[in-house]
Amino acid sequence: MAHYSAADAPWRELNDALQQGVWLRALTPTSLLTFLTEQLDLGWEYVRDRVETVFLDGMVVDDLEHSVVRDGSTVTLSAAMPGLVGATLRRDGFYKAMRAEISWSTTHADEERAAAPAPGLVRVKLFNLILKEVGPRLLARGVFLDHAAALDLVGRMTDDPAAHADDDRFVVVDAHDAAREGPR
Amino acid sequence: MDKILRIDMGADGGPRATVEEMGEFAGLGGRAMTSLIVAKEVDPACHPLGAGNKLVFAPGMLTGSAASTSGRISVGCKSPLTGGIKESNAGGQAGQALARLGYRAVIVEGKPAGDDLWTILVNKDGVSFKVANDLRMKGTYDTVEKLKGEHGDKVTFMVIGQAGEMMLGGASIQACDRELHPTRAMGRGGVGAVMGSKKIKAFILDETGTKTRQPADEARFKAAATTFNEGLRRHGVSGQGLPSFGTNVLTNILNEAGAYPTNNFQGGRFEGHEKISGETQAAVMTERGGQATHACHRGCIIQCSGIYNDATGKYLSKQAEYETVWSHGGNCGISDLDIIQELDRMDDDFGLDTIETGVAIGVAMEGGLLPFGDGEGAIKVLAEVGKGSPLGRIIGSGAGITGKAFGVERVPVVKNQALPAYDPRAVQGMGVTYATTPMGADHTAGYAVATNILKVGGFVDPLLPAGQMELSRNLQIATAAIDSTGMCLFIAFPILDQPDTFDALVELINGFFDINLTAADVTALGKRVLEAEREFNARAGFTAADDRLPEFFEKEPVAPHNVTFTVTHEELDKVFAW
Repeated sequence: MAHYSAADAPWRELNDALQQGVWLRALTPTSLLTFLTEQLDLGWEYVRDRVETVFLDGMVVDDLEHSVVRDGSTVTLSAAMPGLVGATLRRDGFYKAMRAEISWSTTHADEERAAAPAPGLVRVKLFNLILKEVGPRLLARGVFLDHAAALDLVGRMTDDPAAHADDDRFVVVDAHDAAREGPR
Repeated sequence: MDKILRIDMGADGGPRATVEEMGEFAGLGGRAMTSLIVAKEVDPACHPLGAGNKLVFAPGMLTGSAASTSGRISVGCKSPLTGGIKESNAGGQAGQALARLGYRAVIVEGKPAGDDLWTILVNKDGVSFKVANDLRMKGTYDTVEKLKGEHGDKVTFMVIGQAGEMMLGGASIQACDRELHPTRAMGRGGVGAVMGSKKIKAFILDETGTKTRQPADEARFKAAATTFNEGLRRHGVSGQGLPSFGTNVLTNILNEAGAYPTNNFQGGRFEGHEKISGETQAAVMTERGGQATHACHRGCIIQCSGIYNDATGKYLSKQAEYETVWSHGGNCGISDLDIIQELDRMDDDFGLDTIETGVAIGVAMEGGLLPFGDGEGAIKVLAEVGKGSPLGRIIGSGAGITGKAFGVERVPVVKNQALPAYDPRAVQGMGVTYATTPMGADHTAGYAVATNILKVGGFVDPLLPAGQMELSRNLQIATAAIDSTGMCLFIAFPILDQPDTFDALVELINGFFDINLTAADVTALGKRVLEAEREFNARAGFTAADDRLPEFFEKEPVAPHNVTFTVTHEELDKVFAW
C-alpha cells in the first residue's frame, strides 16, 4: 500500500482512483450514518438529500443508521441515478423490492455495533456528483491507495515512474501500521 | 391541421403518397399511434420483410410544440428480429420536423417491384420521390453528407445504412441530431430492415415555412411549461446528473451493484469499469474540446448527450450512451473508451442497434471467434457488417443468430432480442419486465414512471412477494402511456419525486389539447396500447413460453452475489392478468 498526499495532484488522474476506491482511517465498527456524518464529516442534510444511492460491501443500503461499517469495508456513495435501475437502487426507494437479493441486511447490525470501536481502514468509492463535490475534500485530508492503483497513478502522472522512487509525495507504508495511527 | 401521410411503395407506376384524416387515431401520438395502427392494419402472420408489413412513424403527442424534452419520434412495425410487434423511439430532429409539417403519422406500406433505392422528400408542399441508387450501400454519415449537398443543412434526415439495405435483424433507422450527425437510433427490433425492405434509403424532412405547433389553451400551456421546465432543472438527475455525465453515469453504479453483465453475462462486475465510466467519459470529452453537455434535439433542457472527439480533437461520434458503452465495453471485456466510441460510430454508420450488435459480438467472443477484451478484433468483426460479408451478416442479424452460428448456449435474448445492460439475476424486478414485455428484452419497456402517483392498478405494496409482478405490470402500463406523449423517459425522476412537476406534465397535455386528462385516462391509454400489442403477438403465434428469460439465468449464479433469477414461470404469467 502507498500513502499519497494530493495537495497538488492532477484531478483527472485521481478521478480514476476515487472511482476505484481509496482507503481512509476510521474507527470501526460504526454505523454507516456515523461514518458519513462524523468520520467523513459530511453534513446530515447533504447525506439525506444528495447521497441517495449507497452501497456497503457491494450491497445496496436502505437504512444508514442500522448498517455497520467494519474494518476493511467498502463504502460507495452516489447521487440519485437515472432509469428504472437508478430508481431501484435508490436508498429506501419505492422500487427497492426489485433488488431485494442485493440489499444490505440489518439483521445482526445492532450486536455488531455494540463492539468497542478500534482503528481500522475503510475503502471509500465516490461516483458522479459526489465524486465532484466530496472528492477534493477527501484527498485534502490524505488517502491510501492499493499498491497497484498507486503504481498506475504514478505511471499516468509521469513518463518515468522510476524517477519518482524517492519523491516524498509517494511513501510506501504498511497498511496495518497506518491503521493503528487512528482516524485523522 | 393534423393528418396522416400514407405512402404506398408498391403502387402501380411507382411510389405514391396520399393524405388522410386522423379518424379513430385522433389525439394519439408516439407508441400509442404506431402500435394501434400496426395492430389494426398489419396481418400478424405476414412476413416482416414482405409487402404486407407496414412501417409507421409517429411523433409524440406534444412533439413539435414548445414543451421541453418532447421531441421524440416512434416507429412501429412487425419486427423481423422478434416476429412480434415493435415500437422503437429516438430523439433528434425528425420528430419535430414531421410534427411541424402537420403529420401525426406516416404509414409506409407495400414494396416496390424493382430494385431501385428511393429517397422521400417531405416538405410543406407535399411529398416527392427520387431514385437514389447512387446511395446504395453507403453508410449513414456519407449518405447524409451527400443529401446535404442536394438539400442543404436546414433540413433533417432519417436514413438507413448498409445493415438496413441488407435487411438484417439488428438494423436501425438513424435520425439526425441538431448538427446533422446520424446518431439518434430507432434501434431495437430491426426496424431498419423493414425500411430497407421497402427500398427507402432516406427521408428528407424539410420544415421550412412551418411553425411550432400551437396549444389550444395558450395560457394554460405556458403556465404548465414554466413549472415543468423549472422542475426538470431543479431535480438532481435531470438538472445535474444527466447533463454532467450522460446516461453512462450508470456504469459505476451497476458495477458496484454486481448487476453489470460482463463477458457475455458471465459475471456481474467489470475490472475496468472506471476507465469507461460516464465520469471518465465526460472528462475526456471536455479535455478534447468536445461537449459533455449537449441536446440531441432543439428545446431539450436535460441535455444528456455529448460530443466525443478523438485524440486529435476531431469529431468521432456522439457520447455513447450507457447501454452502448456496456454492450461494446464490459460485455465484451473491453475497457478502452476510444475503441468503444469507434464501435459506436461504426454502429451508427452501418445503421445498427448498438445493444444488439454489442451483445452479438459478446456471444461470438464466447463462441471463440475472438477473445474477450480484444478491442481491435471487435472493430475488425464489426467492419465485416459494412462489407456485407457472411460473417458481417451473421453479426448484424443479432445475438440469437450469432449464438446459433457459433454454437453458444449462453445467449442473452428474450423473444430473440438481446438483453440490455442490467443483469436480471441481481435486479430481478427488471428481469420480470425483460421476460414479459411484448417488445422482447427491453430496459425502457417498464420505466420508473411515477406509478405511485398515477396509482396505476391501485396502491401496490412493493414489499409483498406479489409486488414485483404488480410493479412490473404498472411500470409497463405507465411507460406505454409516456411513450405516447413524445416525452423523453428521462423526465421520469422529476415527475416521480416532485408532485408539482407531475401535475405540470398533465397540465401541459391538457393545455395543449384543451382537455382534462386524469391519471385514470393515462392508465387506460397505457392498458389499451399493451393489450393491442399483446393481442398482435398472440395472433403472431406467441405464447406464455415466450415470456421467459433464457434458461441460464435460472441455473447459473452470477458473481459477486451468486444469485440466480428466481421468479417462477407461474408468477411471470400473472403480470398481464389484469
